[in-house]
Amino acid sequence: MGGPTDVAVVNAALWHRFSKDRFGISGLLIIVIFAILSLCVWFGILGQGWAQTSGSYWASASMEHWFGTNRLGQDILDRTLVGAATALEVGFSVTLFSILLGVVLGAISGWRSHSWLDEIILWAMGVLDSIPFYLFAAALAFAMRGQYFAMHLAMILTFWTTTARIIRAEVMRLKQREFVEAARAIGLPGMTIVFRHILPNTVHILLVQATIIFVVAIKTEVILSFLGLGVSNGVSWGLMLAESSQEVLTGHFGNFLAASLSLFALLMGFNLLTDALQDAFDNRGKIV
Amino acid sequence: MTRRLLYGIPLMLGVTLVSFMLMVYFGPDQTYELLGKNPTAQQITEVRHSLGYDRSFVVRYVGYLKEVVTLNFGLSASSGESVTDILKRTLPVSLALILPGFVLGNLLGLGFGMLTAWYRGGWLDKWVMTASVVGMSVSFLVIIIVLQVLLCTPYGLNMFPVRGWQVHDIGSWLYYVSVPTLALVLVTLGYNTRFYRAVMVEEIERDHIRTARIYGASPFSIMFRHVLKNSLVPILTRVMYSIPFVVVSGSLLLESYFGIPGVGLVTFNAITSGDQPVLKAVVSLTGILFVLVMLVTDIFYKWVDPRMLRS
Amino acid sequence: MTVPALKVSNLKVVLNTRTGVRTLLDNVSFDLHAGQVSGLVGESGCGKTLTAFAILGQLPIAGMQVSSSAIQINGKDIANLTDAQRRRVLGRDIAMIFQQPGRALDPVFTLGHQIEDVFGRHIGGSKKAIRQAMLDALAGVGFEQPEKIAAAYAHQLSGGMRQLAMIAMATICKPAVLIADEPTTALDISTRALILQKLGSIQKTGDTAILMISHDLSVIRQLCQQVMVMYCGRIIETAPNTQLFTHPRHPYSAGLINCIPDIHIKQSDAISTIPGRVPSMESLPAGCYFEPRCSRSVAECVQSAPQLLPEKAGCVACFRPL
Repeated sequence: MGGPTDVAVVNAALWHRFSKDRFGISGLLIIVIFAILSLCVWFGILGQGWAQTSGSYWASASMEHWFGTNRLGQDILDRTLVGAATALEVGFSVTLFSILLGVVLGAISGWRSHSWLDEIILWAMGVLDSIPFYLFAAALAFAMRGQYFAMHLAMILTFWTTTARIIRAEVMRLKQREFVEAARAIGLPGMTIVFRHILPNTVHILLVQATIIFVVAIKTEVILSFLGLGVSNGVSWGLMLAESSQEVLTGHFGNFLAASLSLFALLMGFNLLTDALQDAFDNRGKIV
Repeated sequence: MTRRLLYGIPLMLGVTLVSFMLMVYFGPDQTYELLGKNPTAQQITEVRHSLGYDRSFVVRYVGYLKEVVTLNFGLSASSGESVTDILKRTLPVSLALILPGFVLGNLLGLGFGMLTAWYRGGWLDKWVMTASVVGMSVSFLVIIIVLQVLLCTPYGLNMFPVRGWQVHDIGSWLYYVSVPTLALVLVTLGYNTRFYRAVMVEEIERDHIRTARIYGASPFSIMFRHVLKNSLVPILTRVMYSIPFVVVSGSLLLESYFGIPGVGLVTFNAITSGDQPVLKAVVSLTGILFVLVMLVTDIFYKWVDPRMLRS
Repeated sequence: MTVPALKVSNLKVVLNTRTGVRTLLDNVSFDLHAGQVSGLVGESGCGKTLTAFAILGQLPIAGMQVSSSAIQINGKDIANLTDAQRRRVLGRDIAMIFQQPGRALDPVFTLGHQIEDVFGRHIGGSKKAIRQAMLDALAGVGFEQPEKIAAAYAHQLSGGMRQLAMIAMATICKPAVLIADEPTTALDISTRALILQKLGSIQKTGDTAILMISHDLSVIRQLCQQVMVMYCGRIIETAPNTQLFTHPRHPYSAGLINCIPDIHIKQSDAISTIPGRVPSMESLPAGCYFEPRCSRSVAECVQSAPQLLPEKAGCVACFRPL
């Protein structure tokens, strides 16, 4: 009836369905590979020479530089690996905090729907949705005097709204159910009911949302870096693409290929994962 | 309807407040931009006064609101041109740039969505879905760069211009708009197709579609009359609410990349140079656009779905 | 013997699942005659609605295979048609009404529009003629102000009115066969009577054969001249109305009829039920499906499935009929 054991049983069954999906598993595998590479970067094992300039500009692939070098003679492979680490870091932090913020505000809003609190939260969502994102990110970057996390903050402050709307709708739907009535009847306080009984039933929705937000976060970082509003110290795929946008006009494709292909691989991984999760959670009967 | 309009007011207030705080109050201090080297204290005070920095938050905010209401944002800080003139000049350009891609992207998405919904589970469905996932996994930037190389440089077909916008007739318009349109379509097609397919599949499985089939309706009649008309509410919602996003953010990237003098490019330049009058104007316009979209969508709902007439 | 309005012979539907082949309908055969209401009775899930969809060529799910030796309307085959040919038949020679008319009608078109659609598609004519035919059909089912109904949407009407509108849509092309799938189950008692009366008057015109699908024996008893009892996808008895309700031959039919609560039962008598449960699709018995619950079963019942054989005025599939 919505208690923790039932949720565990349901999740186990869903996991079983998910594990049969070859595309989903490949997606997960891709993500895991990138995660391992990123960990290697963070622990100093790989990619450490990304900033090191050398004399050989735009060198093609060689034993010394597996992906060649860029305009400043920097090793593209190293930069790509660090770019992966950046992408995962941005994706992870933005996803985590947008979901947290979205869940909390959405739950409050849904539980106390149609109250003044709900109206305020809805108003905030409306305002944030109508502000053009890139303007917001730029303004935040200025307001925070170019701090690195301005980019993360801009994304978190605008991405939480979709999660919040979904959670609000779910909470409003689930609070009609009997198990909530039962919980109320035995005197459990509202927030406990929400967090302990209603929200566990939304985990599958949140998982799918998380993969979606991850993709959007990484894509947004790419464009922000291109516009000069994202990563500035350090390297990201967005920066590499921004550099390459001029280079490709003169025939130097190394930077571009490395960044775009890795980006594509990681995004495909997440998109496949999203699809597999959605299919596993789709309870629509396949038989009459 | 009036209730929606009233709802729009706090929304506009919110939008203007947030943007005012971020862009103006915490925004770049242009005092020193305007002064030369070694300004005297008095010069500083004068400039600050002319820029309005010495007034209180509330006064400045109210002043901003007045500008929004009268749609008069003064002069651009970078070029000195009247902001309204700038907008009059650049808005049509942005529309001419974005509209074809937006419309085409949605029409194609609708078409593919209908096809895959009808032939659900077949090979066409699988191919289109795979292509959609691939399309969703490519960054807009990557698409733009690749298209530019393939179509505008000697490394490819070299048929279209790399940058610019010298449009005076249909021919030149097509010349300059084709690559950006193609980019926009490619980037949105995956998402659009999946959305339209999902909406149609949901509708196709309903009882009244089964009734239509049992009474001998043709596939064309079923898809284009029954399924489509019943799906108009979610479709309309998404299309309308994507307009502000596509027009503003889409134009930003395309214009700054292709050097097209539209609202997006002007905005981008204003961001980097801290041109506040322009920024204030653009944000306000987007807020107004959003409220307009809300109102128009509501009207459309009543037109399209008789069940909406109940409320 | 006149050509039956609908002839179904050896209709079989199997479903291929990962765990094997399931038989959903097993050799279903029956004839319907114009001017007669035939009832198809059985518990929920026994395959009644599936039979209707199979006849209409509408089977919804992939993995299902349909086969039959004949499905004919007035002697004309309808089982082996191309899609285009089938679309000409559906709605004109055979029509169906459903349990939930509110869901079966399209919410975004007026009722008049939907009915005109059907008429225009199959019979055609000038716009005026089509509109007049639609209004006549609505008047024919009992609406006093057909123009108002024609301009209304499904959600603006009550359940009974919606079902009447559906009946108008179903009968406007004067089909040879009308299938009514639980048409009154979702309606309240007074509306139920109205609908049943309407169906009765259609039967009395003598032009249409009606197949009444229901799990409600009282409705069947009231309306149908002939009754077929279905159990787990097999027809196990057919009989004229009076015979079935006074002298059912199959133990299952007897059990069903005994289940009808009778106002004369004394308080001390228990309401009888059929012991046991309906077997699931995966575990159907090899012989007679009803055998595990039957008090009259013998060895033969376990080993082989009884065929539907003539017995008195009807047919029964039982080795030891009552």
